[in-house]
Amino acid sequence: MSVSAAEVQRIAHLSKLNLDGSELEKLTEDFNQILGFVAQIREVNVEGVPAFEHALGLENVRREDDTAAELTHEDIRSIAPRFEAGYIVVPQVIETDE
Amino acid sequence: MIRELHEKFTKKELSPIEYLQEKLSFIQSHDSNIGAFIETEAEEATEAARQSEVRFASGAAKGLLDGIPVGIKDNIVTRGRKTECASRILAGYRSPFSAHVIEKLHAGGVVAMGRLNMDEFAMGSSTENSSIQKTRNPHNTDYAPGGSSGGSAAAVAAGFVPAALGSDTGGSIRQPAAFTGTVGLKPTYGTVSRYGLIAFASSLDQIGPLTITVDDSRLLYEAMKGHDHRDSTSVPNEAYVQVDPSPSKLRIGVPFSLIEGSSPEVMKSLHETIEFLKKEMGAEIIEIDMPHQQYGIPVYYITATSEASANLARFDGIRYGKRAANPDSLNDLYETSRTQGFGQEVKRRILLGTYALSSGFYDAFYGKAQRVRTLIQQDYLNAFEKTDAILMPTTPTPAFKLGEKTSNPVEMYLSDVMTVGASLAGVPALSVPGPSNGMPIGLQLQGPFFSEERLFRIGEKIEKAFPVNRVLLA
Repeated sequence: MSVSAAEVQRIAHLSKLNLDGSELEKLTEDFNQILGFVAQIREVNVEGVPAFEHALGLENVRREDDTAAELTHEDIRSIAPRFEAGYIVVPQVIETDE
Repeated sequence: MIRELHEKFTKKELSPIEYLQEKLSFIQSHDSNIGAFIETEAEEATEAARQSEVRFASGAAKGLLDGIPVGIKDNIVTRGRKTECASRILAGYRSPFSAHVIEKLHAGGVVAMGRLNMDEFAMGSSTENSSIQKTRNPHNTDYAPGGSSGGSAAAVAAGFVPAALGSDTGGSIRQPAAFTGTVGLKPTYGTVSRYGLIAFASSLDQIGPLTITVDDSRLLYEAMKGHDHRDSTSVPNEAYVQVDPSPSKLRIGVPFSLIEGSSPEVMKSLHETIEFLKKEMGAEIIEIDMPHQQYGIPVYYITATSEASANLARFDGIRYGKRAANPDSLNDLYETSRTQGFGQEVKRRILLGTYALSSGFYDAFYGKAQRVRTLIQQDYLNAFEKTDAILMPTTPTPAFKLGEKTSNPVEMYLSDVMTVGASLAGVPALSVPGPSNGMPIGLQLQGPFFSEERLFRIGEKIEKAFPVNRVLLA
């Protein structure tokens, strides 16, 4: 099986990566090599075999929904790339008519 | 080694501060040739050693680990300290919280220090994918230290620290341990909390120790394990199962067909060890068939990349990490931050994982891989019906040279062929140095869930029979 550069570009956009030129070419080549290799699992007969979940079969873990002191406002400010007036700043999301 | 240090600290023959200073000056003299530490965090370590010294002086030492320096891989966070996962996307990141294992080690008085080099996001088998620096094998600096915990393994092998923490997703503790003549443990899945370990593949990731001796591995594992409610895959304390640590008639399984492609020196090391176990321990060697292990690498790479593509979605340039300058739009901010921030191998794996999970391919790749993973685990459960532990090489060859495998990703992936099985099955695995005349060779012991103590006891016998040539940096 083989995947085109355009298909790799589509996967890249789904992954929020922007590839172009030589990087796209190189990654397409690698991608096909790796895909060809991992595709060998197709030959395994898995009829009636359940999908793997937790290694030890641990079930969903639940607890009371109670509050606890975790990260503070200051903690978040200290790691945010842009932070103003108590908020993380991002580029404009909603377009206007102007 | 840790017990001996503790005795010296207790008898006041050596103080934690003196020992740390000795180590720091040794690192200062030699790490420019090795590249194990991204930084030593000497100031924080010195403060911790000072506090430990006070405890020893007043007879209030916290236990065997008090005052022991332990190096930390750059993907385990400590509040207020830098952790970058050897990635540009986390440049300058200082965690606002500490990992569960760090809290536990601090509670035991450990002098946790440094940021040890690694493959970016723990993706790699040679530490050459670090965006920060290269790490060299202390046994021969032309050779790779293995990866992804290459900095941890090199630091221990070089004598910079007596022990270090690494993380193992498909062999990232055991393979570098094998390449550097150190002891590496990947614990039973869920016994050591992943809270504060920067996630790569959550169903596989486990933190574990790299040490000089098997006993040191035991001491660190015992200090780190236990339930943590902040990791939803953490095993509750009441779910631990008692495993006989010393079966009276030891049965060792060897999957000969799986390992037949190993290099002659690796096979020689294995056979010498088998003879030793038969003669000196009276072990019965049983050939075992693990028919699905040949699919281990494909299943591993599909599973790990799929989980990575989801886990690494959080690095979006919004809340922390690197944000691209002057984006045109929100989408441009995401794409440019990630494209600039991630290295080639990380991008390769995100792409493969996104593809394996995408509509139209999910069933054929991710879904199928999870079914084959069940069969791989079944191979292990069947093997442990008739054996107490499995012995095989940790890697098919001793360490390879730096640059030898960087141009071919699949060839690099194949160096994990003997380690991914235990990761996929969730069982514990310990790499101990085996007999060797040249570069170190690692032998791997794998056991049923919770059988770490059994593996330590067999490992200690091998360690005693085949002492390692230690590196002496001059």
